[in-house]
Amino acid sequence: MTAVFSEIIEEQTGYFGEGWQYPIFAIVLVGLLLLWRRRDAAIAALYTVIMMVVIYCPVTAKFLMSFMEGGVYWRMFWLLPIIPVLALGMVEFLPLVVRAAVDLFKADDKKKKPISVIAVVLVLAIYAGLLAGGGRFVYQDGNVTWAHNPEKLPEEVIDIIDAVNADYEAAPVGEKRVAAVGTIVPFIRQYDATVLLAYGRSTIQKEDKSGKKAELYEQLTNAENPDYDRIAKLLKKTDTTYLIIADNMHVRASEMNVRGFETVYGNGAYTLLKRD
Amino acid sequence: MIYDLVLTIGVMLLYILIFRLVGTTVLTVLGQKKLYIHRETVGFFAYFALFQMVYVPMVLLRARFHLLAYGWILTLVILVLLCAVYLVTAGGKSPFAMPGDTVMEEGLLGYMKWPVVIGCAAFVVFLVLQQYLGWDTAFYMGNMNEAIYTDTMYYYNGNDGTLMKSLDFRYALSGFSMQFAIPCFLLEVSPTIMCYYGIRGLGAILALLIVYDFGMLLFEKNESRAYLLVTAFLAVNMFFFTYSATSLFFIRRMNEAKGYCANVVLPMVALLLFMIYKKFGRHLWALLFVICLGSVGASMSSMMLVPALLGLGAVLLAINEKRLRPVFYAIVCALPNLCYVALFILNHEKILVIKL
Repeated sequence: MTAVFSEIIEEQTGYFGEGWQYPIFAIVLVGLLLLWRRRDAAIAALYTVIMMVVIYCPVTAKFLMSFMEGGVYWRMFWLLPIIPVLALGMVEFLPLVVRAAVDLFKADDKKKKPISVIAVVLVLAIYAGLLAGGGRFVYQDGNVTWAHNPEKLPEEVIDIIDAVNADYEAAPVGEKRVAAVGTIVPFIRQYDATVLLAYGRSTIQKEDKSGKKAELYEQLTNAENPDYDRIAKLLKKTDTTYLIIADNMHVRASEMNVRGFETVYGNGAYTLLKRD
Repeated sequence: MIYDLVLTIGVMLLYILIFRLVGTTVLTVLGQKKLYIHRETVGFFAYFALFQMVYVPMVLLRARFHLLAYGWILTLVILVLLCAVYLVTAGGKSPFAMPGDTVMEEGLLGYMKWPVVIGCAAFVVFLVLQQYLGWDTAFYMGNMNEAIYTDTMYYYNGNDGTLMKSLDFRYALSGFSMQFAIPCFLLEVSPTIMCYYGIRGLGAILALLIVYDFGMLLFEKNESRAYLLVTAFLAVNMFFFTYSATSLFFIRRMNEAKGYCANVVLPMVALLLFMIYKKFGRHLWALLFVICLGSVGASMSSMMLVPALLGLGAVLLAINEKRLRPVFYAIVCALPNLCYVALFILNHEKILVIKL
């Protein structure tokens, strides 16, 4: 049970990060209870409390986790109305403040006019600041990435796969199976699923790196001193016709050339070799 | 590729029209023409509910993909014709129009409509232009590509193309990817373009419509407040970026079924439960049943999450109404999802294995 609870806390940390959404959510919910239609807010609060009990209770969590393969319990946090309540807080409280400020502004006492304006700006700034400062802007840290082509894939990858297709069409040998450096593996079949892969996600992400496919991946992507004889053997054993290496990594095309691999194409970023 | 983009936009517009037609028909059949809910969102679930009835038997029987494509197009043509005839004969005046008894506040808030609509449209365009390269995206696109190129469904691993030993129910039971592979197959549109532009844009639009409907429900058909809620929703999403948050899926991964689960399915179920609580209309449990029936078609994650949401929602409704009837209705609504859970468990425990 302790292990289950630790996993729940880990998932919670992953869901909320270091943001303040949780406490702001609690404050807004209390605010709605005090200021809003109490029955509606009470239902929302009761729902939240019970759902949190279900999510955090190790007994129910263990039961639910048994249906969720691969560590995806964080999806249970989707059942908490965090974003709707935060958005509702903005909609309910800010007009209240604005209305009060407008009433103050319209009052006869001229001294109250600037106070009302300052009050509105302050409240808006505090709420916006809490959300922005307490959260993490989605479009930061390189999360805004403009695609250079409609497929939204790296241009060099599209280019090299086109080269695979052109070569295979001109001189088909065996299956159109490719072993590629790990960094571009996810992109290949997004572009063209007629290209088979020597290894995929399950090989790259598994902890146990034993087996032909895992060894081939390690040699091509992570080995500082690649064993070229072993690479050639593994490519033959996995019935892989094409090899794509990155020009700025350790595996050298020249070493593969003397081991029966012909350089078919290069675009400065990647080199395509074909097994004779 | 421009050709693919233009076709993708055309296909999405067609989807929205069909969803509107089907949604309007469902609401008319239930006698809910005056219910303030976007017909497109109702239609989306009704559409997928019907699609699942065609798709699931076919995938379990290992039918070829082209059979699904042509079979579904035939079913769709019949569906559209039936809906059109029904609405012409029984739909009354202007069946497609949303109920008009809404309120717009005076002053600044009264001018919210067009800035918010234009803002949302700009946001959706910005959203579909974003690049997100992840394993899950690669997997789903791989499945769509495989279906088209090999004329099979889930025979091959979407990531690396290796032949699977048996059908993986974890992915195969939901028709989401195969549904959007059909227009790609028929019109020769790249699944990559369909995913990034079409599926993503459609999901974002549906999510925003549901938020708006929530606002109309909460604020008693006050359009200004509803638009304000949509704006607030977008603002909060922008600043809640973590790997698991619904925001990430809404803004960056709406081309995945999980994005639809987080931002379309669960909010829609919550909306219906809230409507039932507010007694917003009649036959809402029947409408909720249709939503649940289509939910797994949109995302396999709905299999567990929708019953969890339904269960707790029903208990609260039962407490509110001081009777057990909501609980029984919720069990009936959850039955489709629970059937999928049963199939998943049987497959997971190697009791029901479909060899390929």
